[in-house]
Amino acid sequence: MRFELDSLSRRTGGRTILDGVSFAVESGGFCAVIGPTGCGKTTLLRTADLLVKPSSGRILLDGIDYAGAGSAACTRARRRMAMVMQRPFMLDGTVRRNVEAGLRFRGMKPDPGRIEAGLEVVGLSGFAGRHAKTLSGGEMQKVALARALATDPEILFLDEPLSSVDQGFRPEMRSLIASLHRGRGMTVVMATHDLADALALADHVAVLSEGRMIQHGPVDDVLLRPSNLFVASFSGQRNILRAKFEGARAVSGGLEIVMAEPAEGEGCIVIPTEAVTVSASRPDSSMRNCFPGEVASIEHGPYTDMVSMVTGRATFVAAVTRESTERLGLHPGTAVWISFKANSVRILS
Amino acid sequence: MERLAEAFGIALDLIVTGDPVVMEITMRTLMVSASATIISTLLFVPLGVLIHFTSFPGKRVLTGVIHALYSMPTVFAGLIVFLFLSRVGPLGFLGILFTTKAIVIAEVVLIAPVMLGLVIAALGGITHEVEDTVRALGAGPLQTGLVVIGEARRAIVSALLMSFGRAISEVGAAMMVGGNIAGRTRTLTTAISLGIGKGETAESIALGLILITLALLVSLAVHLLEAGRA
Amino acid sequence: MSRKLVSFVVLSAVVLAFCACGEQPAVDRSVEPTADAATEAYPPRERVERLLVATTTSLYDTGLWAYLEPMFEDQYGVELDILYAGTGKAMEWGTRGDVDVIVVHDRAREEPFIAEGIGLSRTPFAYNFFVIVGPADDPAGIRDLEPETALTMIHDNATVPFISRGDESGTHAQEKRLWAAAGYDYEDIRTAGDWYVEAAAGMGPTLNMANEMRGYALSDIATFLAYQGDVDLEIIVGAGDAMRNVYSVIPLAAARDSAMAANMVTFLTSPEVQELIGSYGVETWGRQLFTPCAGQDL
Repeated sequence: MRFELDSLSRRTGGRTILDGVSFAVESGGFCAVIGPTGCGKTTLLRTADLLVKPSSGRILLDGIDYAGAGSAACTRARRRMAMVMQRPFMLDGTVRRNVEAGLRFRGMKPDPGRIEAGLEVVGLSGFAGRHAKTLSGGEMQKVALARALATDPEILFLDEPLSSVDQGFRPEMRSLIASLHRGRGMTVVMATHDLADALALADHVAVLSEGRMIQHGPVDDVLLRPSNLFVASFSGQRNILRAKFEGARAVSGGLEIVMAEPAEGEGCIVIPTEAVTVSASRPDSSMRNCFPGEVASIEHGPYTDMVSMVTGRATFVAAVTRESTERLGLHPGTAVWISFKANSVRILS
Repeated sequence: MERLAEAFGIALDLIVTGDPVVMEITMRTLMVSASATIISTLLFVPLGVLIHFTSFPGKRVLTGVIHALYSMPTVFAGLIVFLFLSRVGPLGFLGILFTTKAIVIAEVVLIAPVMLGLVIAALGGITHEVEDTVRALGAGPLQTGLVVIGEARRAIVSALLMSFGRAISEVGAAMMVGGNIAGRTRTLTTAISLGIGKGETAESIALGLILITLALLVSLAVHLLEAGRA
Repeated sequence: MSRKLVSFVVLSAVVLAFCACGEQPAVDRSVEPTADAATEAYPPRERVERLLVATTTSLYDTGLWAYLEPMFEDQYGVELDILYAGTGKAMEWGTRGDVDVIVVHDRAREEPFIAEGIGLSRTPFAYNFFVIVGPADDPAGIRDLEPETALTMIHDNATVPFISRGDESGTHAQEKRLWAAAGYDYEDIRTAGDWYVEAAAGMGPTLNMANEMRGYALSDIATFLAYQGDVDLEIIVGAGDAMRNVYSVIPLAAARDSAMAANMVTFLTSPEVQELIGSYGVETWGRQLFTPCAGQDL
């Protein structure tokens, strides 16, 4: 199902929760709606699933607007969609009863084989007879997922699906969601405040802040080329610097940074950590930004280290492979050369 | 003190030996209160469901009024019903004043706000997440309503029990519209209030013991239900 | 759809409310009703299975009705329902048509009641006397005085309680007459002090209250005798013509079955019942509680 929101707004009790949100997800796509807690992600999903009426705007499912639809039409539309809430509510009774619920509401007879298969897919084989309300948080989430999928929805809304899952199980849950998306070819819209989830699962990202859509587009676009400070800092960019622009040069922290394009006035620039190179001696390359500096600290990750280096009054963070860290013998105090290309410098609005 | 202990002894004897007058009054009280509760359930549970699920202007005011009526003085309810059922009143042609039917009607009037208010509160205790979940699964309005009621069933049953308890302890209205006629409209409460005035201590104590036992059983049932919910 | 339901409910409620207001009967407690308005408002009825009799509390508390009730029911094949009320309340019920017969004891109020046609006739059938009862040690020193003098002394004493029926009953009416005869304005008595207690209860309960509070009360002798075993009170001021207490049976114009109502009159004045009334209580309490007087003009 192709899903699109057009200038969607929702105001209630004098507050504006959603303000002119617009974005689209192609059929079969996976869009992550990211933003800090309280920015309106849950309301967005609830409105999209036609659970609450928007104050204005359009909700287009395969091109048909349901924003003003009547109760019966909404119910019919909802039967083509499915949603998993942040803390899913388990109906009274067994896991089987929960998973069957959607089918029974549609007046369809549940096929026990399919129910069991559905439970197996989410990793709950043999749970059919358990009392749903006695399960753990993670298990409940899986039941909710199986329950949502049992009705073969054309679009699946997920509200922070990994937030109540233990750290250890997150990768498992992520790959489950990924395989479900690939296997069924359904559209998925997932709300999350965790960047890693978005990066791992989505092909599109929509950034929400205080009810407003800040930026949306393909994942790489948004995260690696943030259009403004909010998206940049939210998406975890480390090298964000205030600078004064003088033509194609940005002056910041006592440094003159060469940019690919000229600019005026003052503002912020961002350099992705992947674009920053660390070397022991002055590199002999075409990178027009080269500064001597010193390692301040190193954050060791499983495969990549984040190396913080100081030059002048500026700090740069580079993503460096473990191997390189060891080969270069990096540790706090090591003298290094920091370099990056002019066209990796991005001006933020 | 001695006389009291003596009266207490007689009272227990009356209960244990199943004194016919005491039994008759007890059965009548149970029948009347049960009828009132059942009729109220049929009337006010659906009404409560309707009020809960519908949004309309003045809904807050209505629920406020219902809560205010919880403490409606019972003699006021008795007075209203009396004036209606009296032969010169609008429903006088029914001729049911001074019968148990009149007491049932008065009790229905009395427990209406209690039952209505508690049912609405019970349904209100079901968070919107329940409704969201069920509607997201494709439930239509009726199906959603049924699920919510199902989730609230414990609290609703509590509400019914509390209404029954209220009905059983009714004195004023039962006196006014029932007339406290021996063998016909005398209930535990009206009999006690008459008996004490006339100095029939032993009988009153017997009836009082039965009444308090019934009231305690109702409270216990409510408590167990509430505990089961938690 | 739900909105329509709500409107329907609201509309029904409004309609019902209008019905309640619309049919306002021409009966107002504070105003003496007229016969025409009263009879017009009663829907007609034929034979009934129950006869509703409102009785003064003194007859009830003595157990006389419990004694006579099965007899009447057997004889006339109808359920007899006795309602316990003071004369004032009984008359009000009668006016509203909620009872068929009233048995009361206040001639001064009964006669206008008949004159206006609410009650069909007044038939005295028994009498006894009022007495003033009180604690054996007679704290106000009124033993054997004339009733009016006794009341004056109680008033002047102003500490020993006097428990009034306070319920517009026949006994209460008698009490008011005595205060008036003693020269007091009843309204002044009501506010005279804490010693004057308005029980607003039947005869039995009032006696109990007098017992509890160690005070005086005006009672009919029958009820007092019936309660003598339960209360520590004595007759302090005894009989006298002024204290005669006459019980009459009044069938109501509004009775649903006038024939059956008339039967009650016949029953109470029949020779057998008159004899039973006369002998009631003699065995248990050693003296007559009621003196039969059918046919006398009392």
